[in-house]
Amino acid sequence: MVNEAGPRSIKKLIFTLVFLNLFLPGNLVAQDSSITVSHLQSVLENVEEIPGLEFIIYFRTLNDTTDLTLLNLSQHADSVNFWFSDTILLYNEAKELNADLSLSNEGVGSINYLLYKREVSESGVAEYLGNMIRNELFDPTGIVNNSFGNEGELVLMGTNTPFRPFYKLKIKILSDVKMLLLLACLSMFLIASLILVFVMFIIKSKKRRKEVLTLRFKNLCYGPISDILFDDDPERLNQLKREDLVAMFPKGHLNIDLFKDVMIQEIISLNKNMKGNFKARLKLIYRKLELDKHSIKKLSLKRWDAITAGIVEINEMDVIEAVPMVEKFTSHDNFYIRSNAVATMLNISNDMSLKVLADQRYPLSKWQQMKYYRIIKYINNKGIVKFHLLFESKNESVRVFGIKLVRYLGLVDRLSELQKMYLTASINEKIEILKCYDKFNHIDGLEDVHRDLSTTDKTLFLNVVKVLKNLGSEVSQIVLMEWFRKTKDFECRLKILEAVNSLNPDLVTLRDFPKEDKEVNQMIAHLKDPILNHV
Amino acid sequence: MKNVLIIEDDKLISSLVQFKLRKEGYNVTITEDGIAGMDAIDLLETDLIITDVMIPFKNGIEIIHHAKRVSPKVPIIVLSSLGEEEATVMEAFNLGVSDFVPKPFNPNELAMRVRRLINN
Amino acid sequence: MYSILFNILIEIMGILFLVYSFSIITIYLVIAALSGLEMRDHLRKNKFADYLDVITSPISPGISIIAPAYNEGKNIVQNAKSLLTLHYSRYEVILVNDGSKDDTLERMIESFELVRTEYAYNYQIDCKKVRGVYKSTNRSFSKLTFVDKENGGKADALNAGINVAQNEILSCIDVDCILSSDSLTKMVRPFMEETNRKVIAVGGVIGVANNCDVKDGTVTKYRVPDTLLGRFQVIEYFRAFLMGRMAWTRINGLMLISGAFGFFNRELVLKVGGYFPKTVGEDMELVVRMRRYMYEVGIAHKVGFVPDPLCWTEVPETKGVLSRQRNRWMRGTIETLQLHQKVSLNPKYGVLGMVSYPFWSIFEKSAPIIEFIGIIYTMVMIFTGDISALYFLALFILIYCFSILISSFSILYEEVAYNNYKDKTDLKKLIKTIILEPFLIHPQLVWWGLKGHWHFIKGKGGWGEMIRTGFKKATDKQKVSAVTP
Repeated sequence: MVNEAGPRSIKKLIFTLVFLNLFLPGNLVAQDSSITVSHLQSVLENVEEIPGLEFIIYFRTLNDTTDLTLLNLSQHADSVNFWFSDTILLYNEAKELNADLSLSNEGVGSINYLLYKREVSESGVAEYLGNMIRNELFDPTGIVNNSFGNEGELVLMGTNTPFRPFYKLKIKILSDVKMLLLLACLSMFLIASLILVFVMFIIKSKKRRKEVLTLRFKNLCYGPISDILFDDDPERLNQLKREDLVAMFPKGHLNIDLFKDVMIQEIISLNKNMKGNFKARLKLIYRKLELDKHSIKKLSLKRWDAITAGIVEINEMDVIEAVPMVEKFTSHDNFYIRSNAVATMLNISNDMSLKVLADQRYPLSKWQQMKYYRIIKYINNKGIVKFHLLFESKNESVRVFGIKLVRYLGLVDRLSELQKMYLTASINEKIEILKCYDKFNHIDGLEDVHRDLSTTDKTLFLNVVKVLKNLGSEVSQIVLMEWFRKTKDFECRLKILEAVNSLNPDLVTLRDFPKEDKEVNQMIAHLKDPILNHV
Repeated sequence: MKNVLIIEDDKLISSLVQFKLRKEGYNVTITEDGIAGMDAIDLLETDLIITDVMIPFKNGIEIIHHAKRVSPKVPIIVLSSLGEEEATVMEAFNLGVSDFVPKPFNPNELAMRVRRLINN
Repeated sequence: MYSILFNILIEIMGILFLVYSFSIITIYLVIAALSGLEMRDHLRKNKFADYLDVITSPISPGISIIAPAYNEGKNIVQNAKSLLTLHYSRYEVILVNDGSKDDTLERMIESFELVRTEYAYNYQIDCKKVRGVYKSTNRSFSKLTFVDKENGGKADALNAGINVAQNEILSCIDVDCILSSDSLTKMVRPFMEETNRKVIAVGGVIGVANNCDVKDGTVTKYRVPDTLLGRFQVIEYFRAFLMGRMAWTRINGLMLISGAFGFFNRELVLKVGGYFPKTVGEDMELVVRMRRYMYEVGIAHKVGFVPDPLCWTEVPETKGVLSRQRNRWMRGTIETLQLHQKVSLNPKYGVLGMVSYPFWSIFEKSAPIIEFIGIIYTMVMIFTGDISALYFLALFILIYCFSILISSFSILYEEVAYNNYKDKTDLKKLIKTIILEPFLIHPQLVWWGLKGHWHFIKGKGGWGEMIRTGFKKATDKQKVSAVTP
């Protein structure tokens, strides 16, 4: 910002700035801007009007009678010898007048400088001009060229130095940080809006197209599929060749990937909802139309969701020959690829040892456990599943899952195995083993259980108490009561009391707790409340 | 010709059942959500209703309620997905549905049940 | 004449505003991009999820829904009933009556055949005195627990509910929220998919229920609200949930889960001492404290987010209520940031300390102040005829255009992902709102935010002092509670 000239003339300055910027040649910045008193005159002689600067002539006559009113000079009120002129804008004019005065009259004349109506010395003027040059408000040489260069020279210069009016403006913009930032914002905004609108437009149109097509394809495949499924002669499907089947669908459609996808999806959905020989027929249609190849092809795609879709299709349609390919994905770092690959392996590979699962390196999430549990439950009904690999797995979460399976699938004959594991088991495993003991009333492991009352893990402690509540012996009652006295934690005490109450209700009522112990009374009341106990 | 109303959001299943029942000689109407289903119960002359329990906008139980109020004599077959809660099934039976077919189901079997119910 | 110092100050301020605007534009662009990616992934993941299995599987975690109620007598019975019919097998509903002055208690007792039990209440987390724990004598309401306590505010009521909760996942909701019947199955999914990183909390989207048709706890027909304020909030919620939180989820920097619909790991909530009842921003504060705790004990963790529309609520459509709400949000933000100032720019706190916290301090907490000063600055410039005024006018126009762009985008997001507002006229109304918002509503928001700041400053003494110094460690909250009975 340029404020030296004062706020009142800001507008004027801006105007000059813009004006000069447009018309001055580009070498101005490098110019020597200093003006000394000695060559001030020569500078002033060569320029036009300078903003703020005016001139005045003082003339001292030698005799009192000289009258200079004809030359537009005024007489000073205090001294008859002292005459002064009006303010003059151009130095040359002032000089001329001064010369005239000296010629025709006797006396001494001087040119004086007014800066904004105030008289200043020569050095003051020099400084002022210097300032203006530095701030590029004023250029002596440019005007020299304009006023003194003849026409021929001007033309010559015009051809020599190309006229580049925007060059200055560019410099101006680039050296202004604020302008720069504003431009950055603007360009960011423009780029952003363009990209966003463009991307959104593509996504939307793509999505819409896909939706419309999917719907059309769905409607197209209902008919043929129903026809094939409800054919009165069940043998006919076996005899049909691929070409015959393809001919039942609109021509060329089975070459379209999306159509194949829609077909596969519909077949899978039917397969889930149908029973009996319909399942076999659906699979036969899938195979005969060579949709299995389409599914397998997906495994070599890049997108994780495409690969996962392929794996899911292979799983649902039992494409056993694809097992070696799916196996490669069982330790993929993408959660969805990995878990579906493992599920598929469990489901269709006929490996009863659950080795794929035991070899998992990643922790098993509950989501995966839920899926695998459903599959294992299903294959467990078909044949003998070997669980020992799960118990021996290096992965703790797999071992925990193995123990959970014992409980969910009712594998009572594995309990002794669990009991052997118990001593060296981690806390999470112990908790699950205890739940198994509890569920199947496995009393044999009770001794190890008692020992774990001294654990610092609250969850484990509560699970131990829960097992003892159900299976505890008379020894347990005594041990528990001891712990009741030792423990401060409200929840633990309540659970202990609950366990003791369940083992021997008399013990809790008859026990003479100190009467003033409000907490214990509260707990006993809780335990005896019929509604809380039936929930 | 006897009229059958199907309320089921899975289009493929409903159209398959429709296909099968048409083959058997019934006139079949399909609605895809609970609200349309209720409207159809009000407006159409129906001899049998097949409904899913989990459908958009309405609870299957509510549909059964409605159907029993509008036309108590029309038999209802409930198609239900795996994992349905026991309570829902019990409630449906208490409301007087005629039959209960859990998914996955055999369309031929369903058609047989439809025939038996309509003929009675 | 300006003095030189003043000049320089003005200059620097001008540049700062420009830098601020530039970063806003950049950041929102990044947010738009990140949320787009996250949304794409989410929709792809959804293709492979069989939610039916979750309902009945023995492996699915148990959920305790906790809903505090204060003077909700009119709707409480209906709300409780719809909470009891969600599709999930292992869950309980804990309603906490926070000392209501109306007939909440009587209505509940009558409708659900409740009786006061001898429940041995355990004040694991400090809360106001519990007057009674009620259970139903009717077996079909066995999922319901009703806690009657003395009034102590929402956070206190939630704490009272947490003390009764039995299941491993807590779902803290507003009792007047409409939950879709599959909300639980969808919200537990991030917890169930936990592998390497512990999932400590999961947030959900809140939809605007005003003017929509609701049947059996699900919105059957979407319609935009009638008032401009209501419509504005529809867009704002899209922007906050579908864009903002999705993007933060992408970089695992989510700091806020709506108090109206949030799921938490119970064990962890107990470890950090539950909600902090002395702040009005209890929802945000809890998440920040839980995250902070995880960083302090050095366990890799994650805060999940489910963008599916599962929960709806009536938003305030009158200025008075809305201004109070925004004032409270602002104070909540300031208080939370103050309490956890130690996290700021501390690399020990990972994304939370280096990205989320600074973002919230600069672009959420200070936004109204900066905007206000910016406007004053520009006015002064215009008044004095300074050329810089032009820059700032241009800048304001630019920023407003940008905000319109981002808002339109959030609508497009919604349309591409879920397309709930199908009606063309509804879309037109929303677009009109977007254009009017910067002029009619935004200034008010700025004003309410400023008031929030003012109220925070005014609210000195007592707990204000505590909040000013902040927690030294995430677990410090327990020590604080121990001071008051």
